[in-house]
Amino acid sequence: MVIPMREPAEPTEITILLRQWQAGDDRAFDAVMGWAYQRMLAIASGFVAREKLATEPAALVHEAYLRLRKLDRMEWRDRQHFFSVVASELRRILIDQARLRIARKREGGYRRVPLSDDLRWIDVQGQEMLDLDRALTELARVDEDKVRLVELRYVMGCTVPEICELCGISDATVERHLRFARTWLYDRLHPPAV
Amino acid sequence: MNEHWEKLQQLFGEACGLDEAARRAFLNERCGEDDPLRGELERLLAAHDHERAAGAQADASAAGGRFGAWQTTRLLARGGMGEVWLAHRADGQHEQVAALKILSPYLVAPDSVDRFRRERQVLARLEHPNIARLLDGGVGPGGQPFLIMEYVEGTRLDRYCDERRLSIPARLRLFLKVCAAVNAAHQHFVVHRDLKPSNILVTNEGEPKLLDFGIAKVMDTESGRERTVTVNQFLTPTYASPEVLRGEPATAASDVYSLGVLLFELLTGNRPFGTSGASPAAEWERALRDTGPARLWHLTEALAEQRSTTASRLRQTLAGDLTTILNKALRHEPGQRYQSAERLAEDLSLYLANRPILARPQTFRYRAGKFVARHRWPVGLAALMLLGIALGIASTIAEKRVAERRFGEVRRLAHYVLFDLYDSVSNLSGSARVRAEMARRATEYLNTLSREAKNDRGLRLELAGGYLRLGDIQGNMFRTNLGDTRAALATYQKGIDLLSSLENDRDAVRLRTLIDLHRAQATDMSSATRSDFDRLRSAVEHFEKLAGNPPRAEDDYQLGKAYTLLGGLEQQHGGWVSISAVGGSEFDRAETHLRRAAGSPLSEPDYAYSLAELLDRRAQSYASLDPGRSIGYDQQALESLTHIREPERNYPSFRILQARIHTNLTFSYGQENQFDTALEHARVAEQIYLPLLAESPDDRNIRYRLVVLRRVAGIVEAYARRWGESAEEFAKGITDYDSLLETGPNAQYRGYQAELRMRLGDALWEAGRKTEAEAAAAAGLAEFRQLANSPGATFGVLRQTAHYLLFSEVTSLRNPREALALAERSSGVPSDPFQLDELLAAAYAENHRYREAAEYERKVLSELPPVKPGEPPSRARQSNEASLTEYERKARSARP
Repeated sequence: MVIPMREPAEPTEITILLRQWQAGDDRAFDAVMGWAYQRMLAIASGFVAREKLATEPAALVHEAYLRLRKLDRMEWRDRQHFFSVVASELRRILIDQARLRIARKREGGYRRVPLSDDLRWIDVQGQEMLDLDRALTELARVDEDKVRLVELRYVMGCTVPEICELCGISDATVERHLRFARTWLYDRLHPPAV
Repeated sequence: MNEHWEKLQQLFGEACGLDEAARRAFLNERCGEDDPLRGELERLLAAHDHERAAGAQADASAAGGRFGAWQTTRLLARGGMGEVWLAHRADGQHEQVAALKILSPYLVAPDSVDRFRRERQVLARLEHPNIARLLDGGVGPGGQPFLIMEYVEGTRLDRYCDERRLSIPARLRLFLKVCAAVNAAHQHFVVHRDLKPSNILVTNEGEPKLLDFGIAKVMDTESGRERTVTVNQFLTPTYASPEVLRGEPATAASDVYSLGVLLFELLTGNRPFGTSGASPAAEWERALRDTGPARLWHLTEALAEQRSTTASRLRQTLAGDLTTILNKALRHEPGQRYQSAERLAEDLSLYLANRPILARPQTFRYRAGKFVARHRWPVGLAALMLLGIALGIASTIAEKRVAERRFGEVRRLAHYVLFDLYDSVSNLSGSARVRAEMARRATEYLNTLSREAKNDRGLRLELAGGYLRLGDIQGNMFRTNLGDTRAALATYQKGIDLLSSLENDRDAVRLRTLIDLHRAQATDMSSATRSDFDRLRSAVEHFEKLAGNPPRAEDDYQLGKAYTLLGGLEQQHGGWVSISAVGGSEFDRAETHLRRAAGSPLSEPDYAYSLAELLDRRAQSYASLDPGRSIGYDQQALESLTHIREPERNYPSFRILQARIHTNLTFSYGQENQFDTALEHARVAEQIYLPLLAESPDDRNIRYRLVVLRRVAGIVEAYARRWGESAEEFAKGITDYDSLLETGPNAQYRGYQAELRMRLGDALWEAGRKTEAEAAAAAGLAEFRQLANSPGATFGVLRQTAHYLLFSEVTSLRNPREALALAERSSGVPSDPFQLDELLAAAYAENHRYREAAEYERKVLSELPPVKPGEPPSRARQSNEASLTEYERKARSARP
């Protein structure tokens, strides 16, 4: 028996919203904003939930809110611009969380949480996350576009079709860039012994 | 980015799919030993292999986990909501297999764990043979909530039906079990929220089992605003109800809607809102406005075969009650759907038992119409008040940013008023003024919004649609209108300007074409030129290309209407193509489109109405040339109207069309010399118009139609040589024109009235009432002269004036010399060459200039369609040939 929980053939809500937005529908923009906020909050509060601490996380959620509020006042050139900014904000939230996590050196009941299905070797709550952040900054100096794709796919959690829609490139191109980026990042994080 | 980086990526892309040996060969071939690229490439390829292995390893480490008493065995699926594992009991109590669902930590909000426990208790009580049971649940070692569900081995509902080629009744019986399960859950106050084929499995025993009941709710958090976005992100938009897509709470009615989509797919193999290839934007669109249930499905033989039947039989089965049931389940507003899954099941059972179902075939307009009919004024006033509020909000937009949030909402309201409510009101009699006010206010208000969003395509389309409606109500004489043609033309122009920059946009082209056509219709037709017509026709053809082949039923309908209008323009002008087939090719195309639209299984009453309207126009084009054929078309038109049922049958638009058909039948039977039958039809038409006019004395369209009837009846009475009765009809028509002219002078009406005065004069003269005749004809001629001498006099006016100066029965009024001057003048205005030549021939003949007369008569004959072999020449040809012979004879005998 197979229980597919999300049928990939279906247009996802975000794809629909993107097209609406592109067609000039402001209602869709509001909804996209809402979606992005939600994504950020889910990520922010999701990790907090596993902390099982009632006091600290509020600060984290609050911090995330402040970052989001900043987005509210920005002038968006286009949806790609919007998504790039949201994705890199998300990356910063993840890094903050990882730092907090590591500082606590929490023990027991610990379960790895992979950054994404395709990046299962990166635990969002571990040192790898900080290493990844540095590697991405390094990669951005050579190839900014790849970093953006990585952020959209692995941080923002967009699907490949959504990215195609967003950036106007084919899915084969997206996959090719992502494969190269994954390899390159893995190499930076796990350099071969000399 | 430099060349090195590009090359590295390219080589990596080519090599990473190769095995060890092939890679070495590849590297040797593409980069030499000392190439600096080579080292980097080798390192990356190694990293690539390690990266993949690391991913797999991380996967494996997650497997075999223990969740409470359960041990995972094998990953079944991974998706947006988390993972599903096959699991078995690890506490050794008894052998039991189950499906273990681990919810993605990304989805779990802080307050949800407690809530999750509460919901789980509710779900555990849910026991039904057709619902996969929730066995257990808890929070895993990493803090992630999990659920243990009954493990079901089976096939997805849709695939099960198709693979076994289940017939429609068999599918319905299976679906009834699904309804029963959903209903049982609803009685426990559990809503599924995500019903779709992949959540319904059918076991080998043929029992459907519903999975994931209430899971969406478990995922929910209580913190209002954030709630729905998270959850809806994982819903499948195709099956979700509009209210859920909009982010409102799901109810039992939302499940009924999803059941409706499911049933639609099971029965038709299509998606209710377009085929599966339809734009995803359409799905979202449907959440925002009531697009109404689908009207068309593509029933291929392949689909029919999966249902053990043929396409045509399937179409028959689905039309009627099943369509009605689907429509009711798929209502946009939750309150208008079946109130429960049980009610839906009830109707399906009645259908299976061949008993009458409870749902009535209802269109949105039907219901809205009924509602508005009960509360006519309150609804009109409420709509205006809402618009007032909306305008208030709009005026503050410039100052307050917060108002922008209301923008969308407010716009939806305008849309509702302008389109849905307007349409429902338009079917009521006596509503012209309310409608004009509604259209004006809504458009004014959209105008305000449009200043705020200049580049908003959707808003432009809506606004242009608003202008179209406003223009129609202001002064399109072929629709209910307030008689202000000039305002109407300006309004149409605004709509066209608004769309001018959207050249390749299908919807914009369609709308532009429609406005263009309506504008042409509202203008004085006799001033339209051949090039105007050609421009319009190419616009329609462009739209036809964009609509694809075959077009959707809705586009078929619009195209049919567009071609009907084009044909009508041609007809009204007197024909540019050939006299016997005026508007014929346009009408042929219109008929193809409209018959297809009206024949589609979920056809709307509008489609049958438009088909009847077209057939009546076709009838009109043959009324004088081939009355027998004309009668045939009108009978088909009446037949098409029989497909329209209550309450649409009582709508004024329907009754007016019926009366128009009877008016035309009056004329055609009169031509056939069957005077009694003809006048019987005239009486039927009159009995329709008089009560309508009593209800809405302001309606210029009805009044105008009544005058047309008077004129036709007067002409038929004249054929029957009952001059007194004929004069009476014409006199009534003249009075009616007086009241039309009171509400605003209109050159066209003045011309028509003058013509009736001339006809009255002729009839009275024949009746021997010569003094009255002279008075009537003199008044008519004075009016014609005034019109003919005013600047911008049209060919139609000039021609008619000249005609009566030549041929009025009141011979004292004839003035051939003046007539000839007018005829010569009319060659300077846009005209139909055929009619012009005919007029010139007559005018020269009456002035005894037979050589010129014969010359023009020959031109007339050359423009007539050639005589078909084996058929007698047409009446027109016979009479023109006789004239020519006479002119030629007289030209010879008259010595210079």
